[in-house]
Amino acid sequence: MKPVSYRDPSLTDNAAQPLLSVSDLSVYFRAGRKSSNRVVDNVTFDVARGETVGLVGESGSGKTVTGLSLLGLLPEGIAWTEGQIGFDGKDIGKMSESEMRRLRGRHISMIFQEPMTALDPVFTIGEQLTETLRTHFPMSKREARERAITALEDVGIPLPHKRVEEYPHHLSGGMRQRAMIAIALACEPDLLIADEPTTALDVTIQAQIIDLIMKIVSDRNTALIFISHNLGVVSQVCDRMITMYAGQVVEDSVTDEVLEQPLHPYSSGLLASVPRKSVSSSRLPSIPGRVPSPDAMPPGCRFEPRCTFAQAGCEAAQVLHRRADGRVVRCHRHDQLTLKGALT
Amino acid sequence: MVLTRASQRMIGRRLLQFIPVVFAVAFITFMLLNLAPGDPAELLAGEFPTEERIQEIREYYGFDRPVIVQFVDWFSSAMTGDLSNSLLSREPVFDIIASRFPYTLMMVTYAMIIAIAIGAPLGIAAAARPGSWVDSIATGISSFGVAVPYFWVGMVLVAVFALKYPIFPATGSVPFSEDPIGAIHAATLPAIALSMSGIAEITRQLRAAMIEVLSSPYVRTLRAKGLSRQAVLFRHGLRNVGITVITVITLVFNRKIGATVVLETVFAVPGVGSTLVHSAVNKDYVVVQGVILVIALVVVTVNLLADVLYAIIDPRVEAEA
Ligand SMILES: Nc1ncnc2c1ncn2[C@@H]1O[C@H](COP(=O)(O)OP(=O)(O)O)[C@@H](O)[C@H]1O
Ligand code: SF4
Ligand SMILES: [Mg+2]
Repeated sequence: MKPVSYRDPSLTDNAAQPLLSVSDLSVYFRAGRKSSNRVVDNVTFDVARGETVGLVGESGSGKTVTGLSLLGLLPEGIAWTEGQIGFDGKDIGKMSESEMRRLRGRHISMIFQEPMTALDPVFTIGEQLTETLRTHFPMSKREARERAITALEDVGIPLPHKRVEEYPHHLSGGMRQRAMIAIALACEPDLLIADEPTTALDVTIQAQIIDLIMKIVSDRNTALIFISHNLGVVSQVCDRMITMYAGQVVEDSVTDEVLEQPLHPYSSGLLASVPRKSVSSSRLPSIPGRVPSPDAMPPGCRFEPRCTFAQAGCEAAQVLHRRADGRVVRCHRHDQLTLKGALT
Repeated sequence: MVLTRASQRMIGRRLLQFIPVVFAVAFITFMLLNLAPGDPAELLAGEFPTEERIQEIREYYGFDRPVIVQFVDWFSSAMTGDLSNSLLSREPVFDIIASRFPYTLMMVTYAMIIAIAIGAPLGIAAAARPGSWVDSIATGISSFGVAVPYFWVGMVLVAVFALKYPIFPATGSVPFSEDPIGAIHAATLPAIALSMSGIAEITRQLRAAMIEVLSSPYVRTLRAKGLSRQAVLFRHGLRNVGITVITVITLVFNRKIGATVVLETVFAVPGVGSTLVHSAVNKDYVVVQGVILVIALVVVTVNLLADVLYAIIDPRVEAEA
């Protein structure tokens, strides 16, 4: 096999500039004839090359929608975005559909939650891998097939030369998610978005899949956005953690700092609900109440109805504070509170 | 695409069902025809027959034997290709069917081609852009095709394209083997009439199936890999709706075979459908029996072919089998 250059000469590789730069991203969904809901609200964050970033928050916080908008894959006609998404210095929002297509799977890839339904049931694993390769690289069928086998080998699938001929229903959930990872990483993208990649899997397999993802992204220096509602998992594997609540970023800090002392009461609440080995028998404390629905957002701080630290000033809309220590938080009391972390 | 052992077993099972199904159809029609009013012997005896003459005829044809014996006798000859002789013309039923069947086959095939050629692209185009003008047209056509009776369409077509503007013949047929162009020309109006409900059914079912496929989670994966909308629609969409395509085509074919009975009479096409009607009216039960057996054979064969295609096209067949 002649080597394929996965490096794209058009990438600037400018180390000073973040690989991904999301600023004031808002996503709207049409709701009824004239109205719409803003389900992602002015989300701003950067991801550096090779950096691993966790995107955490309860279900309905807008994590998946944020991930999909980075690929320009929101459902057409009913969803639209505002704000800028810079990737390697280029604005994704201004790209044509065909430019976006060259980006998807090649420079930005995404793994979804449901390995059982995320693969086409009537195409073999090999076909689904080779079509990705051949979409982005000029390759013969044979060459693509050989690469597909290597890709399956890389994700720890036994007997890869046999597996390429098999259909998704032949594989177990864990093996399918490995195949999904192989497909997503086949073109060696610069950024991988993993949306709850282990949530649908058996507990015993979850750790293996996470280890696999972490090994590959660190070997290849791939940037990672790891989406999860489980802050415990994210805190173990990500350099940085972005907490989202009700469509907004509420905290963006280096993982160790959050674990030691979270700045936002919501981050602290999530940390308290992470299962810990020592107390696995007792019931987990969870944050009382629910994420407000997009059409009934509290006018002030969105977390206020559930926040035990709420006081005067919280009824006002909260802005993101960029602190001198580099941490970002959306709570006017961030200086006053000393919140409980995972280590305290 | 190679057949796995499980799908081979599935096909084997279907093949084993083939003979009992054909046997059951033959048995039930034979019994029903025997219950029908009218004695074929009286019919054959001509006007003002004597009781002795009728009895003679009964004995000659074996109508006096128990029904079961008659059936076994008829069915075992039928297995060798001898469908006995017409009561009216004395012609072998096999020959009658052999000379009539090509007209029916031609008309049904023609109608199927029209139905697939219009219905399939329309259904897919509608699914690719739900709510668009193409979708509105598709929905309109399929509601019209379902609601309107095909013999009425046939009569309107004749009134317009045969009588007012004589582009096509109103009735009659040309043998395909002698004059293919003429045969196609003559079969056009009945084929169009026959295709209406097929267009409707294929459009509707393909649209629904394709919309379901396009909204499934794996389509999002395909788009996330960088595949174009067209690649998703034509490569993955088509293979995924393959099952539906086979199902709906088989269904439409079965219905069209039934519809030929009326339509061949409307257009005076000398096919098996009009032969069936003509023979039934004249109580020529032997021909009726033979035609129904052949139609049953054709329908069962087409359904068997469909099952084989399922096994080839859908890798999950074995999982369900
Ligand atoms: N297709 C859709 N149509 C309408 N609303 C949607 C759609 N997809 C997501 N949403 C809304 O967007 C919000 C965020 O959803 P999502 O990003 O899936 O949350 P998360 O991934 O954090 O669980 C939810 O309130 C959800 O109702
Ligand atoms: S602004 Fe007030 S209500 Fe909101 S998180 Fe901070 S303390 Fe709680
Ligand atoms: Mg989600």
